[in-house]
Amino acid sequence: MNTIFCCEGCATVYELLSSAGLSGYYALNEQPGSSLKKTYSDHQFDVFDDEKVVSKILEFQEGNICKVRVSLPAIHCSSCIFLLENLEKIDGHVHQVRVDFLKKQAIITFEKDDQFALKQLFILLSRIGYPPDISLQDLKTTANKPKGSNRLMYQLGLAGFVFGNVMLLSFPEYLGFEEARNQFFLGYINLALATPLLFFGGADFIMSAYRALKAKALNIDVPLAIGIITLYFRSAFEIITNSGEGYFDSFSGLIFFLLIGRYVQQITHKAIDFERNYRSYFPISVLRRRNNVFETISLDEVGISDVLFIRTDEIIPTDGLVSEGTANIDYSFVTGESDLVSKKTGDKIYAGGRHKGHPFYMIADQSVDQSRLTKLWQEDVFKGYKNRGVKLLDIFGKYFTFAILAVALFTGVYWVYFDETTMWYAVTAVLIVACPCAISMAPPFTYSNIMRLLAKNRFFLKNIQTVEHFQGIDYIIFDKTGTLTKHDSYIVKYEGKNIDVQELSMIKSLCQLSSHPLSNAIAIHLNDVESLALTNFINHVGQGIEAELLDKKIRLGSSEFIFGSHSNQLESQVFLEIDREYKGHFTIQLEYREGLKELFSTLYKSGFKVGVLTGDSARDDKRLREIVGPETQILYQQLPIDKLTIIKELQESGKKVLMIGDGLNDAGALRQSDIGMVVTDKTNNFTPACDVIIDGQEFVKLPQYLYFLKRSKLIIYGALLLAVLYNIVGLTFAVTGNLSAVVAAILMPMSSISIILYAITASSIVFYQSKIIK
Amino acid sequence: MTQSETFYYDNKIVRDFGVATALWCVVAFTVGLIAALQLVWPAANLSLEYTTFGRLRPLHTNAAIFAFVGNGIFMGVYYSLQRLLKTRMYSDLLSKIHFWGWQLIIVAAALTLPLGITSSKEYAELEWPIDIAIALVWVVFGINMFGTILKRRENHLYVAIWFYIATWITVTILHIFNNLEIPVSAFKSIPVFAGVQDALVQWWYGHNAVAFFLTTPYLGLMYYFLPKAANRPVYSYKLSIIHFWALIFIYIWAGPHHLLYTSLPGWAQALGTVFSLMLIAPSWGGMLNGLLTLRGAWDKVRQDPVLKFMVVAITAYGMATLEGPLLSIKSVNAISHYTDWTIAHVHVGTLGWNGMLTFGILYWLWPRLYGNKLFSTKLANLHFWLGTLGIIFYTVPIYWAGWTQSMMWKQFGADGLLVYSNFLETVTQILPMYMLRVLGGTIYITGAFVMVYNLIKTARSGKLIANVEASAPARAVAGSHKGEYWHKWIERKPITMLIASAVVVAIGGLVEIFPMMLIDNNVPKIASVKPYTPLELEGRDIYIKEGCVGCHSQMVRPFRSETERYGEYSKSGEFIYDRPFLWGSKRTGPDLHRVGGKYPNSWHYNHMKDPETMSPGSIMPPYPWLLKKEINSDYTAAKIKVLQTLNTPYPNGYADRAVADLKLQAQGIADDLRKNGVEVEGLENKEIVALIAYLQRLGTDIKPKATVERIQ
Amino acid sequence: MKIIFFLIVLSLITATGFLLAFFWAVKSGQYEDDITPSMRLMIEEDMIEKIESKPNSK
Repeated sequence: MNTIFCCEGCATVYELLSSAGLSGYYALNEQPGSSLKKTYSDHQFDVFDDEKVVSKILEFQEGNICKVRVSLPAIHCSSCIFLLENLEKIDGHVHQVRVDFLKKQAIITFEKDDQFALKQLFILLSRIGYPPDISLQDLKTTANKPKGSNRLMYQLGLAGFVFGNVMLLSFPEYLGFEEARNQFFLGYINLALATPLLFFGGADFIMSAYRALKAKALNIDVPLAIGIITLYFRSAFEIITNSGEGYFDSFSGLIFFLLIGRYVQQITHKAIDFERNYRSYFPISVLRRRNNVFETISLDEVGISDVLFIRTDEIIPTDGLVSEGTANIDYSFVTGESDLVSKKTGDKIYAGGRHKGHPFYMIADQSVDQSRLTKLWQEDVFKGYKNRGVKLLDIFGKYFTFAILAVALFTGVYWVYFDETTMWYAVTAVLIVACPCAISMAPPFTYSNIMRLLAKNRFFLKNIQTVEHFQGIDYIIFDKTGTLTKHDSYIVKYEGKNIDVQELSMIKSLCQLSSHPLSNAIAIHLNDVESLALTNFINHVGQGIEAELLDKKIRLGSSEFIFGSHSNQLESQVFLEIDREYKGHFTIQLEYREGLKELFSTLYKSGFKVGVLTGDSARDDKRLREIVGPETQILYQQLPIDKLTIIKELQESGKKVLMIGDGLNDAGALRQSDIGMVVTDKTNNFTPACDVIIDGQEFVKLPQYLYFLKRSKLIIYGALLLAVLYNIVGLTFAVTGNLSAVVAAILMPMSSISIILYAITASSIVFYQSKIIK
Repeated sequence: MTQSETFYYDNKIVRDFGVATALWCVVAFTVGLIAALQLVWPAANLSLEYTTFGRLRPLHTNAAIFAFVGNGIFMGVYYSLQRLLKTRMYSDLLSKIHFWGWQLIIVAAALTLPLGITSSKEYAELEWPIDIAIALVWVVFGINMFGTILKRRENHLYVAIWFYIATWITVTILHIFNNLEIPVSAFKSIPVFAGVQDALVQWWYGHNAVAFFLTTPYLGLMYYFLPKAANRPVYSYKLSIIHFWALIFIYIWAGPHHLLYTSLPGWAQALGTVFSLMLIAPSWGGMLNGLLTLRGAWDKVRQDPVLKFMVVAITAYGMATLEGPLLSIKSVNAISHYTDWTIAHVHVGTLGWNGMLTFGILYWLWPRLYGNKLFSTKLANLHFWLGTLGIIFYTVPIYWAGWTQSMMWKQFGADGLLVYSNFLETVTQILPMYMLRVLGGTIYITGAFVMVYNLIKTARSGKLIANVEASAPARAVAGSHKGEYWHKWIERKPITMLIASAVVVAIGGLVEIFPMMLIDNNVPKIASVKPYTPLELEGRDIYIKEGCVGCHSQMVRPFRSETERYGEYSKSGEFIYDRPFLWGSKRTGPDLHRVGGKYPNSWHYNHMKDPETMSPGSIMPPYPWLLKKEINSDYTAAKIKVLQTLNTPYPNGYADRAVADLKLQAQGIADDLRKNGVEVEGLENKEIVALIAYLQRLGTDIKPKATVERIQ
Repeated sequence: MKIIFFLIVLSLITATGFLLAFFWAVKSGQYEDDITPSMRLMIEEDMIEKIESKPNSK
């Protein structure tokens, strides 16, 4: 087989597969597999030597047979399914693998023995290119299967079945074959069919209404429940007394359509379920030193005054003090700013930072759950959902219920005077026909379709209510780093004396030896230059780096490192010295996203107020001002708490604020704001307390999205209007005592179906009008 | 260390069913072609009683549905089921019994139908011994299929399997309940239900035979073989699941649309219409799911004949499932029913959907079974074009014929009279279209022969891979080993399984008796409607034997054009002694419900001898053997007895007098014929006399003046 | 026309059977994953080559 591989890693995988007879992997798709760009280390899975950890992860264990559900983000095509599900051919310890493609998960059954256990399984997976994504979250919740969704499926199945059959058996009635009803006991069959549906399906709506009433509130489920109960009991009464045919077709249809509404809502949620616990960004294991013995423990087990060993690129798991060595911490994860902070022995360090440089020891002074980071997360403002304002639907439901009860009362009073026998008939008919099935279906369908359309363009809304919250937004606040600037994309400029090719190679090679972001930026900048082997590399943490090529010594670092004195360093600058001669300096700036100028001017034109809040210093003011325009208020050196306070103040002055940020440092602000939006350059990036995730590429289309979301309100109003019209027609029949089963049977499904169609088409039309897609 | 289990897929059984499919396809098409030929050239029956249109038509439909499509289903199911479930079929023995049993049934059908042994119910013509054989073989298939499902290594049941399961269950129920009959002799039975009830059960069956034999299993095959051939997963698996459940819950109700404007209660008719219309949604969902699977692969479709066949098949499915519901709208049905429109509709479905999909599967399967390449892609492409052209040349003229004839039937002149009062005029008008249809059929059948050649060549150049090795881990039964034990038990004890199934079948048999208690008489009774006399009964059975119902309806619909042409429209109370009902579904010739007393006995005599003498240009063949063969009254008494158990009010002990009564009535008709110049020895013993007695009785019960004397 | 009643009951029983089958399908997790099965279908047996030389293969 002539297969060309992008890298050594992929070629190794090929050899592994073909020796197990699985090279069909490469025949299934044109470009299977993903290149193994990321290297892994076997030690990364050391934590799984710990039985306690393993038992938390395993779904099931009996004897030596274990079953585990793991997340494998690398799954992306049918070849992956083929490979993973034939894993037992590569290693006989594996019994069976079942892949869930959508969730990118695999359920693996394996047999463990002395040589093979969970850790070896994970190493095996990593070797063939599917490193498992195990995070603390998995330790907390082993089985995260939603059980409730099955219930809805049962209900839907039953409702569909009952609806179809009742409709069928009601036909003789519609067509005026009254004898059919009596002769074949059709009414009783209907009653028998409908009763289970009342208890399994209808009960949910009734219970919701009951809870609302108990809390002295009126939601849309209250009139729904009234409608359902009236429908059922009046129909049962009619059939048992043989005084009519009942409305069981309307009854079952109503519940069927309501359940479909719920189902649509549920699958939209599932598909866009992005809210991941912040814990998933924490390391899963940590190395503890106790009596000079190292052991890998899971985060849960970290106790106060434990000595932890922190390696390069690890995240500080909890708050504590540096005990040995120097910590160089990149707090960008917490603060958003990428400057390295150097901490010496005895200094306090906080959870969430990423360590760059030589390993060091720390003493934990908090357990993981109580660390500063966790606390920040758990502050009041983060608790639960944002509970601002009542849902549009529930406001509507409140008035609607009163209106209906009033109409029913009026109808009752009227008929008591004119024809007492019609009284109950008319009153129940009012309650039946006014049942707000169509009304309660309009928002979920509209919003779901809106969410679906947006999600297709990588604009993710947390939930349906977010659409409603967008309506009043008039103030937009941007974070700078990672939001206005691109993620990991630098502009590197060199100023100084000429340097030759060999020197460039030396610079690049030196930079490659360091993991400092600025070094990385320079190395990437010098992509086309050859690398050389340097000797005597020394990393002066927090200062600079140096190395030698033959006799030439090259040094790179801060002005303090090169000149020995602290100079006026305005931007991120790296100074260069070769053979003791100062050559010049690199200026490294984060690159701003394209199209920001237009973005800001459009926002102003659309009448928004705009501000920028950043933790950065004002050193970049000129460049930023040019982009955001003169009207924008820019505040520098804002701590997370400051951002939160400013937003609070704005809200108190009556503004509705949309906060756009990128990371955890904005968490408070994002939560506090009416809508918190996170810009991400990877869809699976960290997404804290936000309501919206927008893809970095889509960011410049923000005005179009805002336009669309604001217009969506009109769609809802249209749907509600339509529903009200149906109600007026229905009520006319009902109030006058003329609501026959046929009219109800036609009106109810028709109103529901037409509302669904309306909601979907209208929102799609508005979406295309908004020019989000060109 | 336990890991993968190695096992072998049974390819031989797939090949066997494949061969049977190809063989019976040629047979079914040939019989169809001969039948079509007879409609323009009646002499094509070679003056043999066994090859008349009336006897060939059921042979053609049965061969097409149960032999061609049936074997096609089994071929596809046996291939896909094993692979979808990662296991060999449950039992090789059952596979073999299933295969040979089914072929024997087909052979039995091919022998009995030309012999005139028929129950006359469309697609259920086979007589009771064969019905039982079908039930048994079907149960064998069921055990084999469910056994396979139980010992599967793959937990998920792919949507195709659901379609197979639904097929098996519904066909079982339909087959049993439509064939509730009481044997009179080895080759004759009397159905339990009569008249309207019989009609309703028959069309509940008839429609569902289309739904669950021609449609659901093929949808299962589509969901398996289309993604395979296109090498891409189905467009939306979720949609296919919804497709299945929606179809299942709606399909079963759509039957009564075959009986619009008949004596069926109005609401039952309306029900059929509504549910038929609702069917469009799931059907088109399925079609779109199929076509969208090919999105982005249309370049592949242009090159691969297999995909081409499948695309035409799916398109035909879409057209047929749109047309079907439209035809069930009353006003459309008023035009289409009894005409060739229905024939065209059905052939879009069978030639297009079933035929083309089967061909596609065969072309895809054969190289895989024989481990080589298809002998000739060029020939496959040729077949594709022949098939497509054949369908066009077949259906377009027949649609045209249907519309033309219907318009002519209903056309009134300015004088308020029918313009074409002579039915024959409406037949001769469409003969050119019938000729074109023969051309279309010839093209289509040529394609089938090309395919057979291609498949034989492919098989010859390769070697059958009878067993394909595969391996898969055993199915993990979550949390317990009970399931594993159970499945092992099943594997070890096929005999236990067989016995258990036999018990189930026996219970099923007892359940069959239950409907006997439901036979009632509360169809609106008409006092003047009386049971058939023994001679009429025998005449009726000759009518059934000759397949007259294939061309003549006995159901005058309440349209002015029909009451004007035939007389008073048919009432449900008139059919309470009709076992089976003979309403028919196609009027190649005129309706006969009011033919009684319309013509003298001698007219019928001469007409059966040679129709052309009475109606020049008629396409009805002569039936000279009726004039020679003698009435078989051996079972007359038995028939009367069975009818009595079914509540037909013959006087007590009438069975003993039946043959005497028969002779007496025959003598009367023979005398009348002699009076009118028919001089044949032993005339009163000839079958023609019985047939005339029946025809003269038809529809006369509610006529004010019966022209035929009744004998008591 | 008791036959209609009979057919109604028969059809209802059949339909109930299918409803139970639907419940079973949902309960046993048949529909938990509605994408992978359609992709799994694409995997052919002959994609796995026989490795005769592999000593520990059974």
